[in-house]
Amino acid sequence: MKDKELLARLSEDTGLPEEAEDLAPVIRKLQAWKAPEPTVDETNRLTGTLRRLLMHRRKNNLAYRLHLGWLVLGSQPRVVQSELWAASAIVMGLGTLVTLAYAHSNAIDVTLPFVLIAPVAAAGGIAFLYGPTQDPALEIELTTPVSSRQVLLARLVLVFGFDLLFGLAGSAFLTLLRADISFWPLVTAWLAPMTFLASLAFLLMTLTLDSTVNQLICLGLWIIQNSTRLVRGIRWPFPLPDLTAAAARPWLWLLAVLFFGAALWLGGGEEHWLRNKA
Amino acid sequence: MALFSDEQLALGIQHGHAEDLDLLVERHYGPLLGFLFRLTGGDRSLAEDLAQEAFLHMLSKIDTYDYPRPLKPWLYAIAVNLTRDHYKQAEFRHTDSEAAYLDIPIASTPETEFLSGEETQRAAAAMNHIPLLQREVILLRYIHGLSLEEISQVLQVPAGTVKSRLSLGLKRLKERLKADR
Repeated sequence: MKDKELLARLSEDTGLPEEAEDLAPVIRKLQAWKAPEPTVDETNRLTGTLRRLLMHRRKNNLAYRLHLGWLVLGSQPRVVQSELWAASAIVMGLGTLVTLAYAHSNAIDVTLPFVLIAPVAAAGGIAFLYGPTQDPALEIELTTPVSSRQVLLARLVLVFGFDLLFGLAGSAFLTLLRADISFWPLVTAWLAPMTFLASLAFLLMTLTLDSTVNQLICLGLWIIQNSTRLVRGIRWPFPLPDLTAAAARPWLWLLAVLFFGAALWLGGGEEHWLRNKA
Repeated sequence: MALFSDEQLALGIQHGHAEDLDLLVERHYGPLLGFLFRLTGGDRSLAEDLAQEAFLHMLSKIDTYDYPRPLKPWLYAIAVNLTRDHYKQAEFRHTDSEAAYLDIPIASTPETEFLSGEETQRAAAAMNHIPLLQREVILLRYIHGLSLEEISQVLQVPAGTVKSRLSLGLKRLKERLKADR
């Protein structure tokens, strides 16, 4: 602080220029009182402590977690096998075309080919979602701050969301071109079975870690379940529940929630993947 | 001119950017330590503890920071309050009066390592004999160059109160130095 500035401040504060002249030397002596400067080590210690606190806060901050979730979501389309998107789109497209060509007029929505194909398409995609055989970068991912559970969830949202979008688009397309099909009954007919079968595939993925086995189990179960509908005259020695029936839907939703939860819980630990890869 | 203002750095810290935190510490740790060193009458270890505590406190409350509210007065306000709390606790152990700490002189002698001459030593010793409330304003105004408005923000008192504390503090400082001659 220069002399002129100091005098101006003192005059402003005391209201008396003579008093300011008198006090200036006192302040000058005080200004000569040096203070210690923090050393580089002290500064580094402080920034280290503060950085740790910031990291801890970031982990517990909702906005940061949402931002991180968004980043994880955005990074996964590049990691998920590109064939998976194409396969899901082709199966859904074929399902739409077959349903369009399906001659049975006055069809009950639950028996439409689209209702049978949509769940298989979703389960097929989710079967190839994750795991040592599908993810070459698994070890690298396991060393990042993002947990396996977050990656699993992000991929599930993406792939299931993709199938859901195609399902809705196919249903809208069918509704527009076929007067005997209504949009909402058609959607409700495939949505619950699709979610159930996808959740089963998701759970099996964490248990078997083998996409082919996983897909075969889901496909087999679905074919057996719908065999009486697909092949005329077939009989099973035991009764099979009709998973496409309206009465089954609440149970399918409940089971889907349980399966998704169990899969996330089981597959969340890094050691789960490492142990199974070993 | 700094590439980022203190307020922009605070915003960055709110978003979890550690680099902004480093810059803010680099910019303010030294001056804050200096202020607290003089405020505590030249007690280096106490000043270091209080400065670090002030940064920790600021970080723990960073979510409450409203951009573009000036950051420096906020940081110094935290430091001043921590200093007051320190003396309050120390004094409350010896007296029944909660406000007594504001008027007591500092018992310690300033560390001579940082006092270049006899006159400066006398001025530093005289500062330790004036009450904390007046010491705060004198240091902020004449050593750290804050405006009356900024001091008013730091201490959360009207500018008129800052001026009256300054006037009283300067008067006492001058008297004390005269008496010591």
